[in-house]
Amino acid sequence: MASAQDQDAEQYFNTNCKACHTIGAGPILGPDLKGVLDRQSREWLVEFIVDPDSKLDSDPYAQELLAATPGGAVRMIPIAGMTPLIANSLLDYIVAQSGAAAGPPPPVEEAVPFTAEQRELGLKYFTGAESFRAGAPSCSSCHTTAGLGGWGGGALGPDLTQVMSRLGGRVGLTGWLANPASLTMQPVFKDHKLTPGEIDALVAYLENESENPEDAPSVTASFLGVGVIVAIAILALFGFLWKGRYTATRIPMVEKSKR
Amino acid sequence: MEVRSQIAMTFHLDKCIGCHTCSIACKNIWTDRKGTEYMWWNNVETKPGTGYPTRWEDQTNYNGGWELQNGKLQLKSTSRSKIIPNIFHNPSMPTMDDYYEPWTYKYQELFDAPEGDDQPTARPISMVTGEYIDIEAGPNWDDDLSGSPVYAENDPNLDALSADVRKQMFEIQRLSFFYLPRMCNHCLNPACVASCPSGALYKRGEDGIVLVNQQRCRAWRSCIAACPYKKVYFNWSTGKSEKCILCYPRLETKQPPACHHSCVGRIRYLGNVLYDASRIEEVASVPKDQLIEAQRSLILDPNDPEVIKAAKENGIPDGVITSAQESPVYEFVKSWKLAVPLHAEFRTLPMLFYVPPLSPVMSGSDGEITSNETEDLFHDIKESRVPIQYMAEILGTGATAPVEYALRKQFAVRMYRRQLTVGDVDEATADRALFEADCSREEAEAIYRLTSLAKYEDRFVIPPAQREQAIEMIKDPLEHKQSVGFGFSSPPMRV
Repeated sequence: MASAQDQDAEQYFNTNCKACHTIGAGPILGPDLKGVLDRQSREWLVEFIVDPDSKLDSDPYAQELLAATPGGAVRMIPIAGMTPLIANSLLDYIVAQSGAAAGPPPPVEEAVPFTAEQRELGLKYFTGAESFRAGAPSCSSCHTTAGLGGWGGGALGPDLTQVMSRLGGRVGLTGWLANPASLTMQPVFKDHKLTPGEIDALVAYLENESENPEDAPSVTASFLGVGVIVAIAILALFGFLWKGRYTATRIPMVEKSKR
Repeated sequence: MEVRSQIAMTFHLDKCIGCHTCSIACKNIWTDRKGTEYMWWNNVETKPGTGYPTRWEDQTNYNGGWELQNGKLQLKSTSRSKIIPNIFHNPSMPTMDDYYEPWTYKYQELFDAPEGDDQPTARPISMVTGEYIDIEAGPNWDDDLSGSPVYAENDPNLDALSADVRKQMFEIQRLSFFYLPRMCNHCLNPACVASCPSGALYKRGEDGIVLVNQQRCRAWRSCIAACPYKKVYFNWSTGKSEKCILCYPRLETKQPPACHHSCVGRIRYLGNVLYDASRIEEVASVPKDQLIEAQRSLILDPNDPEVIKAAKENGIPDGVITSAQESPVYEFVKSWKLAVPLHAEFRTLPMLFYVPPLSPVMSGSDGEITSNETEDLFHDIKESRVPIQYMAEILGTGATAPVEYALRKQFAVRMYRRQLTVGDVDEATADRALFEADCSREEAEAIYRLTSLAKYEDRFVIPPAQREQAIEMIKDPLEHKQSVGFGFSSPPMRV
């Protein structure tokens, strides 16, 4: 019974937490969770896991943690369907793992430079020119980068030009891509996991993009302008195609008599 | 032969004085509700004029009625290829401006106006928006305005006339006009019924009245485009189409429709005729110049034993056959050929027939004096001020023969009666006129009687409605026998 629960907790941790947290391998986006129960009470931690936003807004300790994240602004994402029961079993799992002699090794070596092929492949994955093997949607469905320009990608998700620094470099981004934990991305990618090769290519591409100093240009104004022009063009076409249609009888008759 | 009964009408235009009493009677009974402000199920138009809605006779825009395509009848507005692209917007419909924006006056301002140097006025307000409006047009805007530069000159029927004739018509000393009262024709081949995608319009089996089922109407408005007479209207408040119901609640109680009953000039005649329903399509498809004769041939002689037999076999009650035998419409349309349908070329086989009006003799101006061009008041009808060709466009599908025949006969009847009552026409001249008009003395006498002396019962021969029998088809009259009666709301019982 206990082992089954542990297994569930492990799976749950890998899906929802691992993108940002390690147990004993140092901080990524969020703090290292090894020995977390030594630092805070179980009650506080459960409350925080269930509703991170209210703690982050009010609790001084939580704000301290927030300040320690890369850029000081990476907030923990509320996890869909989180209950105190799940939070407790997660904490049990973390305690058990904290006791283990050594944590897992750091996932990616920072030093190894990516190749140009990897960057090109990453661009293809990003725009959808190359499909992900597991059938996940391409990044540009929702996101854009400065390299693609404002018209190149979607505007549903945030601009990814500077995502590298926001998510804490290669380690953070690789972890995130392996298990995207946000409310929007998790359900989309849960059953369509990216392969390590695909992740590396995307990280290579996004690392290259992060060298752009600015985000993709905002296209709201030009989008509106183009929309208006296209609408007028369509109306003009309709007006031409149906120019002989009936409009009125009496008014033209009266106008003609005045001439 | 499939004999059916149809309530038909004749309007004697020579007697119409253009008083609009018919329109008002109808308006007060049927169309003074919200959403019907602009509707005139019955209206009176001045001819030459554009009518209501403006230029309704011009089907290049309105696409009403039927047309022959490779010898087959086809609706002009809603063929299969046209209905799909126009399903959400039918372009062949009159706009509100083509009818008119209905208005009333703010009478309260007559009482509330502050004291001042001028008389207070009641300003017109739109019955659609409630805002003040400048009235620009109305349903009889061109009333009595023959020769007016906007409305009379744009009469579509003038297109067939030569420029000379048109010019003559509108010379001030030759101006003439006549009235054309219009209402639903309760056609035998109704375009409105054929066009309805919801099957909401139907022609009542027992008397041929065309009605809109208010429950089934789905506001497609195909009927409004399809009716060439523009006599189906859309109620913007209920979202249903409405049209003349020929006052059927009145007919069922043996009263003529309100417009007929109230007619001051007694121009309206109503009675049922028997017709052969199996020939409708054939008759509606004949070439244009044969339409009027073909439509006449559709109406059967109610005294013919074979017709009576076929009528009885088809379940027509004796009372309906008897009233068909006394129908004034049969006399005008079939026996005397005095009445012709309005714009038969729309091919809907209208069941309202018009007796064309005589018009005054031509006059000319000699310097400052305007005088008649002929001393003879009983002039040749070809010298009438309204050109025969113009009348033929309206009532003769463009051919002058049917209209000329009807006018000549009326003219002969006048000569005949003048000879009898005044005596300034000699008998030989009168007889000659009758002969030329294909009219016997007896016929002339009968025409005179039904035209001038007709009483209420002669003008309106309403067939028995037979509602008791009709209701048996949909309801069992004995359904509640022995179950209701005394103590209906709380039955008496032992406690």
